[in-house]
Amino acid sequence: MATIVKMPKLGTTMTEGTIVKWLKNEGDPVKKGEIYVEIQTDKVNIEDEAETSGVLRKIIAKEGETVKVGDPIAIIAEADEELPDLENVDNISTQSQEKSPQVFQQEDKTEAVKQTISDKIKASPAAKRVARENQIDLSKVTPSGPNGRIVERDVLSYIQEHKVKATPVAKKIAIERQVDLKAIQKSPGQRITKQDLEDQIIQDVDNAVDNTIPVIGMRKIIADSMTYSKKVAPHIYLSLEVDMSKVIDLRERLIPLVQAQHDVKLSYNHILIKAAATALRLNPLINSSFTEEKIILKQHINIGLAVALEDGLIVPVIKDADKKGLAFIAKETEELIQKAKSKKLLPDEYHGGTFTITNLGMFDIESFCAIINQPEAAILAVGKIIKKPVVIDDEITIKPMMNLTLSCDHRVIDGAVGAKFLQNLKQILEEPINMLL
Amino acid sequence: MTLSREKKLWMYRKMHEIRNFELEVDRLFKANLIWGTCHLSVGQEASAVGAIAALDEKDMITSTHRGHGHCIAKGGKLPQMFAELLGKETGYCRGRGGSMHIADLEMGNLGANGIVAGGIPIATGAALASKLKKDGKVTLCFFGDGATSQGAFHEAVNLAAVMKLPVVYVCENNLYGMSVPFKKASAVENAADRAKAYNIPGIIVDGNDVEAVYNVVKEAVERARKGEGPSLIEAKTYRWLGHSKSDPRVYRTREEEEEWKQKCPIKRYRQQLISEGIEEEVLNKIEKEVEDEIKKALEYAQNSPEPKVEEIMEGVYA
Amino acid sequence: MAEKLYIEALREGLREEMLRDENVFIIGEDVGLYGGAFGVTKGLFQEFGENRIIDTPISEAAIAGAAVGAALCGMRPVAEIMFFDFFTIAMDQLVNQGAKNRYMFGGKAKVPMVIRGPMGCGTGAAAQHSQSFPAVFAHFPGLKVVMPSTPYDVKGLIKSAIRDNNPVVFVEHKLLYWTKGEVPEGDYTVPIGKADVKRDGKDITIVAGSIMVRRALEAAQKLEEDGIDVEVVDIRSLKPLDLRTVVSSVKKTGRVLIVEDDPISYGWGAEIAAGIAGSEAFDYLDAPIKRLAGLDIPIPYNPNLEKHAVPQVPNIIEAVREVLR
Repeated sequence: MATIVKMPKLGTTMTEGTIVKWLKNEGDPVKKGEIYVEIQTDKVNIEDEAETSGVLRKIIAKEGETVKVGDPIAIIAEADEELPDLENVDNISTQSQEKSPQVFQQEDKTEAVKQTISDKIKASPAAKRVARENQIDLSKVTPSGPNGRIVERDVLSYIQEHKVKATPVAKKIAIERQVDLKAIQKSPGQRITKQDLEDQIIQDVDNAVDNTIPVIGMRKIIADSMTYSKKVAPHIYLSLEVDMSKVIDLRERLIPLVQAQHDVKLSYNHILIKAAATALRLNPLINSSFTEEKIILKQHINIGLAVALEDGLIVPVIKDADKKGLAFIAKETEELIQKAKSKKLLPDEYHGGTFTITNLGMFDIESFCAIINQPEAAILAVGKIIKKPVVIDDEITIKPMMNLTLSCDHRVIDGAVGAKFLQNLKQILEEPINMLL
Repeated sequence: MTLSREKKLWMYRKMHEIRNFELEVDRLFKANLIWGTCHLSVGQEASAVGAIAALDEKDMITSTHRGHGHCIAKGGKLPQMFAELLGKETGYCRGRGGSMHIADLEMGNLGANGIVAGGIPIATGAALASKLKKDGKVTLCFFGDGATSQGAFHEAVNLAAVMKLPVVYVCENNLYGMSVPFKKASAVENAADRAKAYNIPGIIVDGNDVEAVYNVVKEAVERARKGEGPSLIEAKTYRWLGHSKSDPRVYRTREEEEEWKQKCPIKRYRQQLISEGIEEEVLNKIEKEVEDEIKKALEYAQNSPEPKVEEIMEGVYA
Repeated sequence: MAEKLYIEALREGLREEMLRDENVFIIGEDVGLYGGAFGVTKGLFQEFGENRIIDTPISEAAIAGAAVGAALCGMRPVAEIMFFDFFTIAMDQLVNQGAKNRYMFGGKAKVPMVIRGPMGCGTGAAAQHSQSFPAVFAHFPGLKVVMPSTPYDVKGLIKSAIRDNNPVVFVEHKLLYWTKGEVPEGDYTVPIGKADVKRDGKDITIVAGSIMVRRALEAAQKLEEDGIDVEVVDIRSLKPLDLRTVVSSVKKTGRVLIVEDDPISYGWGAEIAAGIAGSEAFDYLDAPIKRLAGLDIPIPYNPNLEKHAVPQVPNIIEAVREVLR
């Protein structure tokens, strides 16, 4: 019976051994109990005895080789016996199964003491210290620690959420007047002062604005440009009323024709554009631009039509309106309006205007005074067509009247000049056939 | 004092049990199946068996770290012995004691001891209890040559001598403490010489002659039982293997080891028994039976369960 | 610097001190030709001879007592006690004599001795050869107690201990002997009474000693993967105790876990915990002080039970998580 000799455990702490010397050669006979090999352990050299008799058939671990305890080192068998296959040798490593020790903890006997009255807030010493240092009322802090304990991070979170830097006076006023210090905007790190508090109180009274709109983009542009226009141009306002009977009639008749030609509906604005263009040709000073050194009388008559958008307004420009037919003006205007509403206007299409018309008639506005669209010199505000009683030849009759108010930059346009333009426009609108001239 | 055939065969059997057990343990250790270390008494079978053979069953012993032999001779069952060494629940100490702490109070085994001379004061105490209870029991106290250097030896033996306690102190002198030879650890040549200091009998005996040991111990036990006080017996013997499993035995020569192996107590006794007319087949049968028992006992131990971790705290307090 | 085994570093320290000072000698059981039960003094007998490496009978009381006596007379003995458990046999000489001589004699004596031995379980040596109770000696005024956990520390500390003019209990651990670490060549010392931050961290402090320092560091590495940053303080010296290093660390992290080898009741961890609670670190504690230590049982023989008797790496990891809840 062949014996596969394995590296023996020759010391309590030995995990591997080195073969120092074989005292027998392969093929030599070995007696049980005979010393036949010298092995070096982690501490010493030990001579080992053969555990069985036979012939040392095979030396597996050579001299100098280091082998783990339990791994094969030699085979002792009968002289003519067939040797076993080494693949089937299983290594017995440490007997103790290497299961990681189950976490086994001695019962903490202090847990047996049940909490009785917990009126007291539970907080760790660190949490109490931080609360103390920052004058935080612990009863307001939400605990996140075990057993409902407030821990340091809870106090720190609370502080962060309620972070407010204010002067003692400011704090005092805040408490007295019940102002939320958090609502006062200040740059980070800056202390809220008494002044801030007073401003805030006033502001609170003034506006209970719940929502805010940021002043950016188009809004900002409008705000800036309107303010600017009012600042630089001394506005005067000239107003008259126009009998729109014949325009109404004309429009009725032209609508199907324009529809057929350009598939757009002819509107009053289109007619106004054409009319204004005609009147401007007669009154070039209205179609100008003021600079410090000179007044530029514009060559082209580019009429802008103010278009209301969801969050602002834009003024697409119909270039050379005096040279275009009504139908074409209608088509172009509608296209531009569409583009404007879908925010697809190109800069070219809203720059270069020389005169602006703005119409709030569809909103029931009867008359209004518009602000000049710089760098233009005038703007025409159009109101609603309303049937009104008028006196003609000392007779009261009902006519569809529309208010026109012309804002003029008095640096360029004096009252009489503006009046004349308006008068011309009135004449054109009350006799539309003038537009053919 | 002639021994009955039964007794002789008992002693022969016991020595074989011890020898086989120890060699099996040695094999298991080399195969990495025993945790910790072991102190084997191969070669010292006669001093254990001879001495314990002189006791009544109700008598008590204390043992040492090299105590497998004492335990087996005092009735220690092989399956439970193996189980303890393998750390199993079915071992004598539920796997919690290990080789050096095997005890069986019911069999009168007051325990092996990991502390050198640790058992000597305990034996003295057991003898004191016997005297106070008047139960007629005698305590046999085993220890090695090294233990005679411990203060506890002096204190315990002195007390027993003063009080004339029913105890017999048996020193198994195997010539070495761990690595230091007795002659370098003792100013007196023999451990038994120390008996003079306590005014008790000091007897030297060939520890490898089982019947010689028996005779000497028997006398001492009877003295003790009669109330005449303790004796100190020195059994000269030799351990074949190292002190423990980490001992390469650099402190003695291989020649010395061979010399003592020739004086093997078991071989000697076998020859003696045959010369007295005991049939070889009888002896062979005993040997075979012991071999089988060992195999079965080891199997029992290997198939035994591990102690449960949940029960780790049990047994600290009564 | 070279990587050395703990046992090699210790041997080097002993050897260098013996070369440096002829009053230094080693005394104990089997320390001579045998080289020491664990091999600590291997080779020293051959180099220094039997007058400086002294084998004794099995007599711990005599070993300790002889060391006290020789030290009182100006020698610097290093006594080896084979297993820490046997310190109990030497107790009277060490505690009632060596620790007290200087004080009892009005400061007119000194006992410059070292008494050393390995504690701890993990080798199957069972109840009487596996105990850890260094705290016991820290409790007796007059003794110093050190517990090195690395090869670097063991060499530096044995030198300091030998040069110290007081009785020093030098606590080794069986499982540390074959661990490796960087050790510089030549002479250097590690001060007695100074703890050592072995790993910086900010989420929790682990105070550990001896073998538990290694286990704590292993646990810290695993916890790092979960984003938990552990600071490990090696207490290194039980007497004098460096509470200041511990307190600074706890002030920083706000949480502390003490990991020790000895049984939990009345272990050295209790001293540290009381020290922390009574210090300025109190106001920085964000969780209760937690101790993880051996069970209150004698060390069992069975290897699986033995493992459960003291904290292992998974236990440390779980304890950290619990503290951080």
